[in-house]
Order: sequence, then structure tokens, then C-alpha cells
Amino acid sequence: MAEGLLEIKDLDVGYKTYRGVTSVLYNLNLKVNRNETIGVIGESGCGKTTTMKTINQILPDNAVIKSGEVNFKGKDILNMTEKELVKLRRRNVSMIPQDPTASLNPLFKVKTQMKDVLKYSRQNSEDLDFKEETIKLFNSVALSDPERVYDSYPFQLSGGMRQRVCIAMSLAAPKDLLIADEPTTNLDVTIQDQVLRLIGEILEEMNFSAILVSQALGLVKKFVDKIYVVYGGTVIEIADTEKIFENPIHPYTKGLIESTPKLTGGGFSSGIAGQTPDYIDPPSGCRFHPRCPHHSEDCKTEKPKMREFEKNHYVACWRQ
Amino acid sequence: MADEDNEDKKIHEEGEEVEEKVEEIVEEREESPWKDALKRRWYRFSSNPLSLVGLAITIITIFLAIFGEYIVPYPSHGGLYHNYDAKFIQPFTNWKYPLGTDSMGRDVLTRTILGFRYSIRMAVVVLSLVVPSGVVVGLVAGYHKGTWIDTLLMRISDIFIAVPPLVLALSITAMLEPEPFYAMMAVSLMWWPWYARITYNNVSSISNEEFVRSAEIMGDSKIHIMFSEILPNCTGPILTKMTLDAGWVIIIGASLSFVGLGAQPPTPDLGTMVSGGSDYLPHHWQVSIFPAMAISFIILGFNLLGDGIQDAFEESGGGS
Amino acid sequence: MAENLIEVKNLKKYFDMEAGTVKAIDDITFTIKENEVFGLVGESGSGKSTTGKVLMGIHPPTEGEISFREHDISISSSGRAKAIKRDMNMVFQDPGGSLNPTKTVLDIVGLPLRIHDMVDGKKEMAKEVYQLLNTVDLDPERFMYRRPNDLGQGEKQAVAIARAIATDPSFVVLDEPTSALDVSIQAKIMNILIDLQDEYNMSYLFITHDLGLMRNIADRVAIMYLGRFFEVADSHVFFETPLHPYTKVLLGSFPTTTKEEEKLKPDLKARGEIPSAMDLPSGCRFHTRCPFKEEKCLETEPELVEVQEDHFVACHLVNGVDDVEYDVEEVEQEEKEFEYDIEGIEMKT
Repeated sequence: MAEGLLEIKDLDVGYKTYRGVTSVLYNLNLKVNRNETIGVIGESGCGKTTTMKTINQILPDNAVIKSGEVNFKGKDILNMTEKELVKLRRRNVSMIPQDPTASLNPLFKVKTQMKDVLKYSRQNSEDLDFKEETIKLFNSVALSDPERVYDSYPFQLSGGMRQRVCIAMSLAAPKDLLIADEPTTNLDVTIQDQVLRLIGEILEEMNFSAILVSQALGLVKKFVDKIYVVYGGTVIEIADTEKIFENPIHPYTKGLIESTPKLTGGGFSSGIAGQTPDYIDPPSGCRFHPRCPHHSEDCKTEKPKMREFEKNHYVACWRQ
Repeated sequence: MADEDNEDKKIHEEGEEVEEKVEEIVEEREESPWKDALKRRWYRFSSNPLSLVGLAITIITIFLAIFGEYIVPYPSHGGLYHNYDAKFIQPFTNWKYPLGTDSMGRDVLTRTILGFRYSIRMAVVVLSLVVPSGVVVGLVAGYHKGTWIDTLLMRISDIFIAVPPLVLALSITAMLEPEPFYAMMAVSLMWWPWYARITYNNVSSISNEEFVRSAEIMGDSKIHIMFSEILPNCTGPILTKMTLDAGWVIIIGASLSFVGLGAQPPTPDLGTMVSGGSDYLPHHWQVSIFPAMAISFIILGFNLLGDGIQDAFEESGGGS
Repeated sequence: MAENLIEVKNLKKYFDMEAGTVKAIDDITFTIKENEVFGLVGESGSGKSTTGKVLMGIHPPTEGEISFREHDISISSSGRAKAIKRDMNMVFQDPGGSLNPTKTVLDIVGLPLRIHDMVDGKKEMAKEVYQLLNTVDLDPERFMYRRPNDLGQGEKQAVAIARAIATDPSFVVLDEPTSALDVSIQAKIMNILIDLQDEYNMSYLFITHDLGLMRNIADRVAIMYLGRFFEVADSHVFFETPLHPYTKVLLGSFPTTTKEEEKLKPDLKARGEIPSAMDLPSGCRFHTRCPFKEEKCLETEPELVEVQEDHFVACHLVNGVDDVEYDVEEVEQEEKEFEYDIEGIEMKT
């Protein structure tokens, strides 16, 4: 039995808005074992970023955590003191941001920002040669001309380079868990491919546990062991990566795979009808039922439980 | 042949059906085309209680300005009336004159209420001269940003902006006659460039939006693009500025009256009353303090209302 | 043989910036036939969007000729004849920005009808808009009086499409029409676009960075890099037997979902980033990222040559379908030897 590192249990999170309190995450369960890489897949507005922010406790002020547990190494993050949280962020969990431009301060040079990261995340950082360490990190993320990058302001770098700097920051100290929240959405395909390959190599080399969040199924499949498909703030299907592509069970997963345009041609599927749910007044029962071509009365009244379809393949759907 | 006829008939019937339906929808909705937008704006506006206070104050102000003379206890006290037996009655001592009387025995409450009309009249006249002219100049210049039209219009407005309105109003009224009409003209002459500026800034950024590009490539006329596509998107900032400016104009009007260049006694103008009453400070404070409080009251109302309008027009994403 | 709808000859578009001249389009020549979907693929900064905007007359061209059914349209839209403006339209990338937030769907979709005097009065306009909304799968009763802020991304883009086809144009530029949409909604919009093209006999210029989308809609595809075309071919030829190294790199970077797709992917990994269009590399502008570059690539710029019927390639190393002077497998071997220096970091715990 693999050792659990992070376990999210029945997490409910919402946001206060002018129309009332939303219910974004709804009984979300997720587990990351040591040395395991999982992929969290879902479309915009499905709650994946909210989940990642809950793990790091960096939710915006209007967020409300209604119930649930986020156990990290057996300790509930939701009950941690501010001090423990700071320690958690510095030493245990690192995050590769979605938008590297917004996460680097435009007023300071890269070297200053790297120095801060190293100073606070490493132990015994007083007698560290910051420049040497930084250059080493830059080499490890295949940044060409690390000396120039070291002495640059973020706006002098290209998008791909900025994301590499952010990855270098997240590698500054050994961590237990790496969270990459759509690390390549703003990058071109060729750069996206390079950055993802880099993350893949790092994961392989360093034995991190990791969560890769993505909108597209195809993007992360080379790098993750297991895929969690999220819809409407809850996990609807979990399977080993291969299995989900070979035999998707949930109608949403199926629709998602079919909707992805293929290089082999063959036109487009009809897609999935409707829109992502309104979280102020989410659909009852299975949150996917208004868009589901197969929904029955059961789906409208009760939320389907996660059941084992086959070994390492779970699905939350009433349909047999 | 018969088939064709049938088909034609069917198409015709379908067409009629659509026609009926469309008429239904159009009639139902054309009655209240602004309802939805207003509802949402009202929600944002009313979410701040201070905005409601501002709205209430402004409504009271406008009500008093219009109907003041019908509700005051002594309408004749607005003019040259005198009753030296009743002069300088202290406020809150005599129920007949709740706010006391002035040097000529006139009721302070009556005169203060009547004063609202002169202040509001100033604001209305100045704004109705200044806003349309400034907005049109800013709109034309902003849409033609970077051309000679822009340069010409905006440099002219810069010249006017360089002169403080109060100073110009002072010199003009001092030169001609101390009359409120000249004061209003002078203030207006210096005020329109601010509307040109605020409109210009908004328009030049909105002009880069794709819906403007879209209208252009479809062949829409410049006049229609400026007034129908762009201008409605600037109403928020313009309305906000108008409300805040109403307060400013009233202050300037009161200042002119205070130094004797605005309305002349015995007109019950708030500024003139403060000025005249200041001779009797501190013993007979009611003569100047109550009109001064009225000025503050009016300006407070406009400012709170302005903030509320700004909130109402802020397009925020909000939510997840 | 289909007639040519759009002919573009030696088109150039330069932008003068403070820091220098950006050569967004640097000499491209192509035609779009009647009833054809012409695809333009490339990374950001390749000039593909600018090409669409120049065709629509948002920017006037710096040099070169554009003709539309033999009428010269090498000018900005304000100088074009009204009849031509009615016959072409555009769908923008950002569905939010291309719809006026203060207008209702009825006014937005009806705008082109009103501009070209195709309807008389609000009721007649409503009737037309009703039909148009039906064709893009939006329920008119629910959507006619909504404003853009109340619509989902996919619904907004459907409204933009309804507006683009309102005047029954022959040519529509689609500038990444689905890049802001989720995959499940994208499929629906793409289906609408494909059906409409068929129904209304339109030609599209379809601009995207997504090769998967391109494969499923375009009849012919051109790949663009720093303002130039590198390869132009019929869609199936382009995807099945790509010749230019850049085409292969782009295909190699595409995230796939099925095994069949894997087989189509050349095993060529991307390296480096697109250089600045202000400071173009000498010779072939791709040489900084090309794994096969040779001496001549640094010196002279390759011309776009027809290597077989209707298949054009601009590469010194490709002289014909069977005459390709580079070897993907060889480079693959080299790539394997190059590894990231991850062990370089010491892990102090």
C-alpha cells in the first residue's frame, strides 16, 4: 500500500458574491501518494484552481471553506496556524503558477527575487552563495544564458523564460509536493511542449509527488500516473492514465475526449451541450445531469457515489 | 404541381408563425428595454448603504430646491422683509423660529431652505452647458486619436484647463457686474475641458476594442460608431464625474457669493448668507452656521451618490 | 477548377515602432478559392492574425496587392466600396471584446443588417435576427434581449458568428474563433462553422495555432513563421507528409489523445523560442531553431517552391518529396544524449 502524502476529504468551498454564497467545491475527494504524479483535468470554472489554492491556503478573502479536511502528512491544513502554514509553503509545497508574468514582481531583478526564495526556503541560508545556487538552478531548467537572466528584469525575458524562472524558484528547496496549475496555458505549443518535458524530467529525476492541473487531457498524459477528472467541483472519474483514454466511463470524460480535435481528422463530435453549472444554484443530484445525454430520474435527485469500475478505475455515475 | 403549392404554403405558414412569435417577443421586451441593466446597477449601487444615504440626501435637496417656497413657514422672509423686534432670536428657544432669526428678524430656517434653489440652479446650469460640449469634444478627439483633430481639440482644451475656474470667475464678475449669470458662464468656460479629458481617455481606450473594429469593417458610419457604439460605454465615468462636480460647482458658487461676487442680498443664497452672518459671529452663530451646514449637507449627498454610481457602473468579474 | 476569390500578391505589412520596424508580414503570396477553407497556422508572433486583419482592411498593407473577385482591396476598410464590405466579415478571437457590452444580442446581430439597409424597421430586423440565431443554435426567445455580460463564452462566440454571416458574405476571416473556449464548447462552435460554410457557400480564412482544429476544418493549410509561409499544401498532404522541418516540429509538439495520432507525429522536439520580428535572423529565418541547419541556411533565404502539385515548401534541404536532405532519426539520437542537468542541484534537507 502506497503511503499517502496529501488527502483531501469531502471538501466544500464557496465564494461570497453579490448574488449569495456559491458552492464551487462539492464533496471533493483527492489523494496523492508519495512519489506519485496525478493529473487533475477539468474545464474552466470546474474548481480545479480553487482546490489548488485551498491546499496552499491562498484563497481570496471572499472564499468560504464550508467543511472538509485537507490532510498533509497526516495534519489538517485547514486547522494550521499562520506560522505552520508559512512553513508548509516554504518547505513542503511548491507551486508553479499559471501566469508567470503576474507571479514575478516587475520592479525587481530576477536575482533579487531568486535570492529571497532561496533565503527563506533553504535551511542555513546565511552561508549560501546565492548567485552560484541560482545559476545552478537556472542550468537545471535549461535556461540559456543564465548569467544574463540572473541580471535581468522579468519584462526583459520571454514568456517561456519567465516560466522557467518560476520553475527554478519552485525547485529552490526540496519539497514534498509540487503543484503545477496549468503551467503552460499562456505559452505557444512549441514552448509548452518544452516546458512540460522539463517538468516531466524534473519529476522523474527528483521523486517528487506532484499535481499537474490542466484543461486538456492530452497535455499531461505523458507525465502523470493517474488522472482525476473534475466537473462542477467534484471528482467524477479516477483512473490510471492509460485506462482513461482507452475506456472512459463517465459521459463527461467521454465527451471531453471525443471533443478534442484529432490530428487524424474525422470532424468534430457534437461536443457537450450546455454550459458549466451556475454555482449559486447548482443542479441537484449529479451536477452533470443537465448536460448529460443519458441522465435518468436518479441523477436529478441524488449525487452518485464513487464506485470501483475495475481495478484502479473509479467513477461517480449512476449509469451501469 | 400540387406538392409545390403545398410546400409554398407550408413555408408561408412557417414564415407567419415566426412573424407572430417575433412580434410577441419584441412587444413584450421593448416596453422595458433598460429593466435588466437597471436592476443589476441598482443591486451594486444599493449594496453600499452610504450610497443610499447619498441618494436620499440628494432627493431631499432637489425636493427642497423645487418645492421649498411652498413648505417654508414664512415665504416672505426670502426677500426684503424685516421685523427688528424679532432679530437675533437664538435657535431652539422659540418654536416659531426653530433655527432662530437673523439681523433683520428673518427666519433662518426659511432662508436656508430657500437657499437650496440657488445652489442647485447653479449646478444645473453649469453642468448642462459643460457636459454636452465637453463630451462631444472628447468623443471626437478620442476616436480620432493620433490625428490632427485630436491634437487640435485637446490642445485647445489644455489652454482652458490651465486657468483655475474660481480665479477666472472672480476676475470676470469683478470686471463686469457681480451677477450670478456671469459667474455661471465663467465657471462653465473653464469646466468643459475636464469632461473633454475624461471622455477622451475613455473613448481612446474603448476605440481599441474589437467591437469598434468590427463595426468599422462592416462599414458603419463614424457618427454612429462614436455616438451609438462608443458613447454608451462611457456613461459610468461621466455620470460619476457629473455627480461629484455638482458638489464642486455649488462650492464655487457659494465661494463667489461669500466674497460678494455672486448673488446679492437680499437673495437667500447660501454663500451670501454665510458671508453676511459671519459679521455676527460668534454670538449670533445661527445666521451663518446653518447655511454653511446646508452647503455641507448638499455636497455630502452628491459625493456619496457619486461613489455609489461609480460602484454601480464598475464592471467586475467577481465569483469563481 | 474553382475560381479564385481572394488573391494576395507579395503582401508586406511593417509596423514602425519606437524600437524599430516590426516585419509582421514579409512577402507572402497566396490565393483563396471560392468555397474553400484556407487555414493559416503558426505560433504567436508569426503574423497570422495580422494577415487576417490586413485582408479585412483593419490595417492597410505596406506593400503588395490584395484583390477580391478581381477588385483591388489593398486599402484600409474605410476606403473600400460598401458592397465589398458587405461581402466579407470577421469573427474575432476574444468573444467578449468583439461584442458591445451595452447592446442587446438583437442590436449586435442586427447591426450589419442596418448598416447595409437590408431591413426596414426594428421588427423586420428582429425577424432576421430570429432566423440568424436559430442557425447558430441559440434559442432566439431566450437570447434576443440578453446582453453580452449575461452570456457564456460559447454563446458569445455564437452571437459573433451570427453577426458575421448576417449579410450573407462570401468570405469570413475566423481569427482563432475558439481559442477562448473550453473543448466541449469548441466542438459545438466548430460544427456550426462547418455547417454554415457548406450551407452559405462561403470561403473562410481560418487562423489558429491548434493543428488539431486545422486538420478538421481546412481544405488547404499554410504554415507561417515570422511573417513568411514555410509550407502550403492540401490539408491531408500537409498532415500526412509534411516536409518542412518547422511543420514537423509543430506537429511533434501537438498534445495528442489517441494512438493513431501518435503515429502521425514526427519525432522531432521543439527547441528555442521564436525570435523577435524586429530583429530577424539572417538567411532562413528558422535557422536558429532548426536541428538540420547548414551553411547555406545562414546565408540565403529559401523561396517557396512547388515540390509537387499544389505542395509548396520553403527550405533549402527540401528539393522534392523524395529529395529531403535531412534525417529526423539522426537528430532524435542527438536529442537523447542531451539531458537536462538536474542532478546538478544539491538537495540539502
